Amino acid sequence: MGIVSDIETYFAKTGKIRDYTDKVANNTDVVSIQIPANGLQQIYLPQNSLLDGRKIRAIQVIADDEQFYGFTPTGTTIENLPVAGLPDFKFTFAKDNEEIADIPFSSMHRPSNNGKFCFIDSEVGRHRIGDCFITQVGAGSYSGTIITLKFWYD
Amino acid sequence: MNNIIIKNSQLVTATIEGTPTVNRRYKFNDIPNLSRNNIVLYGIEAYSASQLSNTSDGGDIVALNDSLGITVTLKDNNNNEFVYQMPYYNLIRNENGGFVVLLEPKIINLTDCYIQINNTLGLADGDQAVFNFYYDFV
Repeated sequence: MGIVSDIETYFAKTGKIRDYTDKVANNTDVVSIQIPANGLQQIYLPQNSLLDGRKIRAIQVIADDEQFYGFTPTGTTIENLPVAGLPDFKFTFAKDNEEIADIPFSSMHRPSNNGKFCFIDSEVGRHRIGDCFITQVGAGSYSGTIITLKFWYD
Repeated sequence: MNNIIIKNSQLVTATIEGTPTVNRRYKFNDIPNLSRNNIVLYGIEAYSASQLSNTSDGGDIVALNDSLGITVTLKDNNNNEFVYQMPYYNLIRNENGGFVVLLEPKIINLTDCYIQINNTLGLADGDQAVFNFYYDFV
């Protein structure tokens, strides 16, 4: 869609908006974490040097309404986080001790947002996947299920 | 149609302290990160308990149905109310087609921003209105 106003020009030039119908990115990768316990907790993502060296364009959480099972790093499959559990979690995008963005799972779940993506243009060097973490803020019991995060990158 | 790209974001709360009262204003809780003068707010999203069950410190978040009783006013560093009595419900992305509300970038005066109650139905002492502030550095 064309730019129609000065403020939209400003937003576009400074990288604050994108057309939601644009191609998201050229590649995707998946980071899966098996939830270790029930209740309030903080779970760090495993290191991922591939994503550390790429520009991340969007992040998506996949619940069981999009994909029944998630894949563990060893190749087994286990139930994905139920969609009803999404409000109990949030994701923090980070590097070292800097928390760049705090994003509740409900904002990263496409079916909850009429299919729209959670865009986050993060240049190489701005983020480190191993410093990002998930916080369970609700008291639900999800031990053993898998959180599947899909990272779209260029 | 455009949607927001997140540069930086921070969850912000305003707490209903005491018995909820119509017309009363409840100020946002201070977050030193956002009180610096080199930060501009350019987007805002709100959450009800249907999107986020609790705040990070375990506080209760207003229920979706009860969020209709709340409006939001944002003030910039010149104390202009550049967003005045915006319905809280309109800021909930999940309920508005997945779009985030974009704002002309402004340096904000966080602790002068407030929520205001227009109907106390379902609201309780200690309930929190939760927002994601999308910001960038000047």
